[in-house]
Amino acid sequence: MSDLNLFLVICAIGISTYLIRVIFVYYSPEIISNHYMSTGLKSVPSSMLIALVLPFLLFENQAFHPFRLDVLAIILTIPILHYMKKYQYGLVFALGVYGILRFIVSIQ
Amino acid sequence: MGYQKTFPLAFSAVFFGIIFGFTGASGGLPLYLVSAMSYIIFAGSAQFIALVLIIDGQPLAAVFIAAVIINLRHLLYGIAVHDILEDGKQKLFFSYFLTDECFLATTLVHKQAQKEDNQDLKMNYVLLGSGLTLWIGWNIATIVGYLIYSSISNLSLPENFVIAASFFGFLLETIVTFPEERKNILITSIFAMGIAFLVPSSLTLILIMIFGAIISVIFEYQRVRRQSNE
Repeated sequence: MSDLNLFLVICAIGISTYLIRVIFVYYSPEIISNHYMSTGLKSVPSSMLIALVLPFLLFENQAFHPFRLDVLAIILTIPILHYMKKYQYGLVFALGVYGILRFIVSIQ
Repeated sequence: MGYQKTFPLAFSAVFFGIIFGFTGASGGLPLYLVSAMSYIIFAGSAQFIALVLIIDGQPLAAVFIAAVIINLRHLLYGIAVHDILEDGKQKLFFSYFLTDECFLATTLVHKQAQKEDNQDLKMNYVLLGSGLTLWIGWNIATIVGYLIYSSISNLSLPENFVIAASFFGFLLETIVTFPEERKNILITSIFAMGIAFLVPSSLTLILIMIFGAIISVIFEYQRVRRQSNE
């Protein structure tokens, strides 16, 4: 594989990705005007959040592994986030709690 | 607004950008190619798939097809933000930034603005602010990861934890702020737990989004039917 061929493939993937993104953003598809379709699409952000949190948090290689230090860190972070109302900073707080937990485990 | 909402997410983008950079470096690819993937493609999961296949020596056609299939979910994002963004040629440029994180930030800001009846917010610029924040962070992290990969190769943070920790705060915010979505979230969560046993994590995202959309349509159909019967 020459570097030029690789670069051309990267450009082709980039252009395809852009076209996939732009096609329905710019052109108005008929399906948007359907009431039920637009209702379904409104649920996409919440479903996406579920998909990005639950399987990644509780599963490893399609096996259920909830009893881990990082899962505990996220569970302990929930009341902190809820109290402080800084929902965007989930990663920052969870990393802090995870670091503290790892420290406690390491000194035991 | 887009910048504010996306800035915390940029932490995880930087983390994965660093991993992406040093994966490319450890695979023996030159910096300009690894960096080109980040500034041209700008789609994390597709980049990782393409990079791994390239390093593995797979045919370039397979690399292209795999990356495009991974990115097909962006069609859904495009449909979902079509009515949110203001009309105009700007959309052609701003669509480039429609990544997972920017889509999420833009739709959440829009929902909040609707709830507060804020008509003045320009959603095109929310997407632009969000996209630029992420693009700059992602590209710098890719280069930094490439340059220092050998010195941080003992990084032991679980990748799954970083993904879940980046987004669970937003899920909590949605549950707290939009009580009308709680029923959908509960049922979709049960489905997500079931499907996670059966399919690899790369497929769960698209399947869960499709299921969530179907469930909300069913609930809406039942609500309309109940109203017409009364």
